[in-house]
Amino acid sequence: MPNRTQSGDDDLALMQRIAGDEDAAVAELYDRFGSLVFRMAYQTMPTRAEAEDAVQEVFVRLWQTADRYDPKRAALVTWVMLISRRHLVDRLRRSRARVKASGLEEAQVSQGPDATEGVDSRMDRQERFEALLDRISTLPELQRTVVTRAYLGGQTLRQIGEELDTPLGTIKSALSRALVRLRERSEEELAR
Amino acid sequence: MTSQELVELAVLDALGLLDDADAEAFDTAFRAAAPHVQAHLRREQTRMANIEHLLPVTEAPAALRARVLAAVRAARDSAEPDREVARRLVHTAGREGAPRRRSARVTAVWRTLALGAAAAAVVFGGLTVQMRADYLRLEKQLRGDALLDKLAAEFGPDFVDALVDRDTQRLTMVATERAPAARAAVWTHPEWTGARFFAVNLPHTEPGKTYRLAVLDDKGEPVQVLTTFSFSGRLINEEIPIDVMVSSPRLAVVGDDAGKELILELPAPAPGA
Repeated sequence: MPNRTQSGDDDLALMQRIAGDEDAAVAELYDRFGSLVFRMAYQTMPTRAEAEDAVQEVFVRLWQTADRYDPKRAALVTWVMLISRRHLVDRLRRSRARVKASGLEEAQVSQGPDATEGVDSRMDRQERFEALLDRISTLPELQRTVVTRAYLGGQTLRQIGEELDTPLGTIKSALSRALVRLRERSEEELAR
Repeated sequence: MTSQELVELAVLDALGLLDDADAEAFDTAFRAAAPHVQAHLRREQTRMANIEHLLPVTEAPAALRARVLAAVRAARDSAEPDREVARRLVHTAGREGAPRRRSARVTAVWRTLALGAAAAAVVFGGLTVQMRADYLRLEKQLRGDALLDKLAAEFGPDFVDALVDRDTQRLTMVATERAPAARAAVWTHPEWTGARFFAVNLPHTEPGKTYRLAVLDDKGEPVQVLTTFSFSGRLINEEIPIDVMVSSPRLAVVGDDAGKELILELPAPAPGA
């Protein structure tokens, strides 16, 4: 399990070493966050191969931006998430491989089988994805729509607002509440 | 911005779901907030960032670690020759060299007014018809005052190369009567993975308002928004999808949701072009 409770000073020192082109520091960053980034990429990208490519790109991006990391502004895990998520969404948009966001059924279809993964892995992936969709399906309608389009589909909040003819502020609130609710439900399930 | 809005934005920011304008607005609000509010927001973001329960349970292949390290090393090595040139330029100017790397995003350094104005002059000098001769003269001038070094640090060495590269395609947008002083252009290059959009001299946006760079349909309605941005006097420098540019779209800068008025437009290609 990666240790993500190190102090801000340690995090800053690590990113400074990465900015100073120290190979061992990049390896340390990967050991701490590689699994998290890969799982995010695996959830977002259409295939496992694309997820692996995306992870490489994310770490190059983390190297490129290492000198901008400010521990007062965000914990390192937050920074890694931010850089990763942005890159994945950009990549998704560019490849035009976005999840169709007009309905949960279409979202499921787009998470089709990947020839590079085994049957067990594929089933697990499908089960996990369905579990996530189950949780999403219990959200109020607007939250469900927004979280599906933004979190799974990679649409910008402005695009969603325009398509739903809904003020941007409402979209932001709905998505924020949906994500907090999903997190809380998951925490409750884990606690049982 | 209310504290509730701040918390909402913190959640979205932690997951990278804010666009650049909103992320910058959140960042500004965060830095202006009281220390205890900052601490609360930071905690919320850290909680949201730990979203493992929303992620599929799967292991990264063991070989991926080596591939990641090799990719970072390759990116560093490819940047190294340009960084060495930059170091020599800086050394000539009698200053200490700083690490340089490719970067697509605006940094604090860039946000200094002086550099913004200088780079705007550089970029929009490049939008005139004099093209190559001007670029060569410009490069010489840049080498003289080390501005080249600053541009390389901000936009990456490939951008500086693009200033004088014959393969760089520069598409200049035409201002409408709504903002006759506005200037914008889209640059593409065969080796770039994205196109770059530059804009300057637009009317300043009101708080909460943005411009949209959009693809328009035949009726002039935006059908695809490529990027949104606010303008406060500094050069706009955004990466946009290059595949959109390949199809020679009707591209325009328009007002935000409330106003769809045309600010700048990319002229239709000449027949036979």
